Amino acid sequence: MAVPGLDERNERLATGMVRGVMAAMTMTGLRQITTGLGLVDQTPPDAVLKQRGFGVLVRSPRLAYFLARRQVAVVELAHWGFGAGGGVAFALLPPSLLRRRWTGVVYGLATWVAFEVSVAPVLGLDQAKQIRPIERLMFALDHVLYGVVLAGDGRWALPERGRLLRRPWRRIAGR
Amino acid sequence: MQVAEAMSTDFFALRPEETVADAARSMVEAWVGSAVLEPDRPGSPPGIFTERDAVKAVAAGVDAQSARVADHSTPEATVAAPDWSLEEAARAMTEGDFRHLPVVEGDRTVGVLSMRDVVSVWTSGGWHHRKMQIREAMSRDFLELDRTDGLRDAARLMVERNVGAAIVAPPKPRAHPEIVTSRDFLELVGAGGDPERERVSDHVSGGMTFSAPDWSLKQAAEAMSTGGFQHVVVVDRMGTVGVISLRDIVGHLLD
Repeated sequence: MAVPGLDERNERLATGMVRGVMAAMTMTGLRQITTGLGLVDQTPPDAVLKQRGFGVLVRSPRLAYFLARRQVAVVELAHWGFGAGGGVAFALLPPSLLRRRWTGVVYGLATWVAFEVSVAPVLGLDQAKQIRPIERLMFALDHVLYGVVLAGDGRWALPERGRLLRRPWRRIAGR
Repeated sequence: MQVAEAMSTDFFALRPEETVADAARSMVEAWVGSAVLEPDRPGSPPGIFTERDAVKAVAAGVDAQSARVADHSTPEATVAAPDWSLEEAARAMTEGDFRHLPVVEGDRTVGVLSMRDVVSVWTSGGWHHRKMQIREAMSRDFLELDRTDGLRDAARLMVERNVGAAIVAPPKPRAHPEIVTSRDFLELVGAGGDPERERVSDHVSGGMTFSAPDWSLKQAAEAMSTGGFQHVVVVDRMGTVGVISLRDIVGHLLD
């Protein structure tokens, strides 16, 4: 569906953003279950706030007060924001990758690996040091779910030319 | 770790004949929470004057401009030796319910160990402990004051309840609460304020912050160390649920 005022590339990026938010919301749902079952102790965005937010504590009492009282909403919104960013980045992947069936799964795993090897150690989160294998597995799984929901069949992220090449009948039909 | 490695050797000393007001003023200027008074007799432990003594002086209606600091301090403080273990010293502080411990070698005071020093050692990794949440260590039974309460009454309540800080109701319903601490009373005494006439709202702490109950205790401790706070107000969706102090943290580390 064409969005008025957006060119084809920006439309793909906007779609990526929306799909990214939806995929992150799906992750939130799964995490409700894994946290509720005790498989996950603290989710990554939760951990960032609760373990490494002391800069906010020191610099801005007003913000610390807001975060402490509204942390559930803030953490989820932040996570959906990361999800949106991931969706936009997905839309920028080369068409050759986007056409592959496993791109969503691999992309989800890649976002998890990025957290494990960069964000967690840099911020000194417990997730980088003391984490149960089951917790690690659950994080990997929920990121895979993110990637799968975000990617769908992947065609939405293909540039128009790529989409037409995949469906030559549309070009023949002049659509 | 030994006390000698964690204590501050750059401690503050007072002469016994100084007035309470002068002592408070110089402590505020030097940004210290305690000052050592040299002993009357050689060989006896030094005395100590702390922020809490300033609160007691205000509560008792002492004339800070004329009263001698020696008469309102702890005359023979509990002391530690430099070779004590940090844990031993921390236990002495929590059991004796004080935040500063002069460190004496022979007849000479060589430093002061504070709760803040102990917490700094913990946050810098010198004291290994399992990960903890603020809710495990915070005090739920906190003192709440109205903004219009007089400072003398506030000091009396703080002494009575043996707390180093009290929550002050917010000025507007949606604003955040504030806090008044023993440090603010030291500043009041140093500035020659009148605790009978001045209100709590005139002396709320400039430095304070908030946390949620399930945030990491270490994070709160780091904020206290780097931000110079002694207390963090713990809030949740419903409002204020507790206060966590350096004393609470050290007490919990020892449990």
